Amino acid sequence: MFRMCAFAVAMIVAIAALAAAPGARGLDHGTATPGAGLDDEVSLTGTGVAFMRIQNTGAEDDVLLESTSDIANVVEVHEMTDVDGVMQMRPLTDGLTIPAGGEAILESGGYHMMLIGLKEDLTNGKTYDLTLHFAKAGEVTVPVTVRPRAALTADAVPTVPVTAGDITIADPWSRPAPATGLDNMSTPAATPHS
Amino acid sequence: MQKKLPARLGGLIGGVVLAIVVVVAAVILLNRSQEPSYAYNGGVFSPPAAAPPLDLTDANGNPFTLDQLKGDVTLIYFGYTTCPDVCPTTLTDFQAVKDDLGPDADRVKFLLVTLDPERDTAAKLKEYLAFFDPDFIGLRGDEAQTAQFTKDYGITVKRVEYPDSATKYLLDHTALVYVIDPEGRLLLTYPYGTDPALIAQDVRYLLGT
Repeated sequence: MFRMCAFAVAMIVAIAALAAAPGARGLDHGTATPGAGLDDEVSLTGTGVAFMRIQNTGAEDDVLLESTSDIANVVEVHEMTDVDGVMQMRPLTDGLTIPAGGEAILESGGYHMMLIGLKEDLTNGKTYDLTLHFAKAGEVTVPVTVRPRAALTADAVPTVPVTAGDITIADPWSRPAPATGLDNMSTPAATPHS
Repeated sequence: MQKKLPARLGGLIGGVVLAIVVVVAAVILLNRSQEPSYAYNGGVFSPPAAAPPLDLTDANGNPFTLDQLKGDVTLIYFGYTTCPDVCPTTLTDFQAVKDDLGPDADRVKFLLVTLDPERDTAAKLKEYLAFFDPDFIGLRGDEAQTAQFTKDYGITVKRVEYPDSATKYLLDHTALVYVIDPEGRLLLTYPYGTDPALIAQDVRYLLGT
């Protein structure tokens, strides 16, 4: 019972926080080119991954155009396929479609968000913000927690799903990964989205 | 009286079943002790042959050969640090295997051999592996050495250019874990995602613990 109440309160807080959040940051969704103009050195220092479920309760498809986070220089959606034990990764260039009344599942072995140029280690237990920009639902910021594997441990508290318009994002999480090469970087120069 | 008969019959059947179970169990146990056949949880190279050489450079810049690890069980993963999903997952699994083994892990070595020596400098490999476990060994070769060991170990690697991605290029690659036994023979492989507990079980068998 207590957990139910705590869940409801957390849900209300999350929704309130979302409502109070400043609006779109003036991003030009249509012209965003992942990685454009980035210095190779900066963009490749340490990579991470984020998974989640994105549900669309609306009557029309929505498209995840791009994602941004202060924790990495660039965030891209990639698709991984296992072809007879050979892992193939492909960056999606036209965004990720969330079908009407359906969902897009970002999980190991399928779609994932690749965090390129980590500015901090993704250590177990850490939480960071990730902002998703949808064509219809607009901007949604979710707290991503770092844990070693998909399954939640028995004592873990599941994160509250975040909703914006017809889009709901559930259980965003990242695997532990190191930010490497920070010592050699002159300045974290290219942060086009902040 | 009519009720008692089935009860007695039931007891009789129960006794017979129990006797059969005991006999079967005894036979299985006896057979086991006579020929200690252990079923590995991974794919087995048959017959196992000497592991192809990995005469490479470690993350400290020192020369490395597999001979250094004779007497230990060695787990090898071929990957690259830019890989966000499969490679860190495998290293997290390595951590779990090591934890599972406890003190036995002293006789087990964990290797990450990079398929991307261009981006994975020795310094980067060292920093990357230190995040997971400073005891994990990072190895790299030049282009010719990399071509040789991928061929020897049957690793498929394909570099695919993505000029529009911040990654610039990614590698399609085989994601198996290889096991070399204490005699230096290439013995086992596990597909990506194998339960670390099953790997630890095999390693324990190889260590004789």
